[in-house]
Amino acid sequence: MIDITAEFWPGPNGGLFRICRSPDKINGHILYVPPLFEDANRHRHVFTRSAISAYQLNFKSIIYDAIGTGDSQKNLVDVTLAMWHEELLAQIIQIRLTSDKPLVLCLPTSAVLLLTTEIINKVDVLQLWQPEFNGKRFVQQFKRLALTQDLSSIKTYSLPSDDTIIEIAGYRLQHQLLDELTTQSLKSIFSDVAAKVKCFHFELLSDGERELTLSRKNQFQKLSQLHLNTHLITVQDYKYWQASELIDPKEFLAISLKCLQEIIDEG
Amino acid sequence: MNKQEIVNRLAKILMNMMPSYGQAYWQEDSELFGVLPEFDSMSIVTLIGEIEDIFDILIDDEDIDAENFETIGALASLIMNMVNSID
Repeated sequence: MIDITAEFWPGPNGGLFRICRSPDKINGHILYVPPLFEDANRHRHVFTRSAISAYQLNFKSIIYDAIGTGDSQKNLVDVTLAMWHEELLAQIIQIRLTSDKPLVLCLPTSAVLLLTTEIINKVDVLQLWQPEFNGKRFVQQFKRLALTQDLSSIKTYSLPSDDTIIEIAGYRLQHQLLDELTTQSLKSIFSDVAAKVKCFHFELLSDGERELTLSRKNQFQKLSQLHLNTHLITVQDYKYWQASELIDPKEFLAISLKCLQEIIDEG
Repeated sequence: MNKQEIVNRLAKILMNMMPSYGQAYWQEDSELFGVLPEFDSMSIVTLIGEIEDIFDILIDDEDIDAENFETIGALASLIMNMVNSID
């Protein structure tokens, strides 16, 4: 029986909805950082599966909705990138105040855009799941949602905008937030990360892919140059977040869990 | 890279995105936009991202239109033109 609680945690900018799984004996902590906008919905079921598996290794886990998203307080239109940084940092500090066990951040795809050097230096391990460090590219893709909706006769998305607010794919937000995300990059995030932080960089290769694409290779090489303690792990499995139905990436989850076991073994 | 190779790569990407359609479904003349309910705005943007990544090209926003996303073959032609113009 898993000890699971749902709570509103008093974050620095409003209440965060969190689901916490707490084993009796704690070997470590995992904080699952939600990726941005629609991505958050596409990773939630894998967060849950991962947290349940990690519980068996006595990892305490937290899955949360960022402020202005999901069941957390505030509206997205009131959110800045600094707020998301602050709430992530505050959760890490709270864990650190009560435990000296290893702390792992799991960050799929666009979630890495919520990182800062200060945040990374406060944790022990990063699990990067197919990370997208290019804020400019992420924002370009997000804006393309409005373009692609124009192809359809059923128009439910719009791009009406005044000077400060934009609405894309039903997400109403400040231009400023997209501008801030655009400035996020590998270099700005990893410029001064402590060598002790172990970084597992997962790349999922779907059917037919034998190696990383050139752009993925380049991103990994840049990361490993900025941070030597980075380990590439390629896994043959579905890119589940791209699928139109829920996919259980068994192989990926098994290997991710193995990395958690290593943390325990290393003491 | 010839058109058939591009069609084959596209078929694999689309199989990953829409696994409920069997492998045999994905052919050059398979219809996409306006026919498959799963092929919505999000899917198109995801597909564009994968195409840019795999073929190492940048798709101009002006090329994101219904005609280019009508069938796998139409999309393959767009990609082939872009790849060849780089070469």
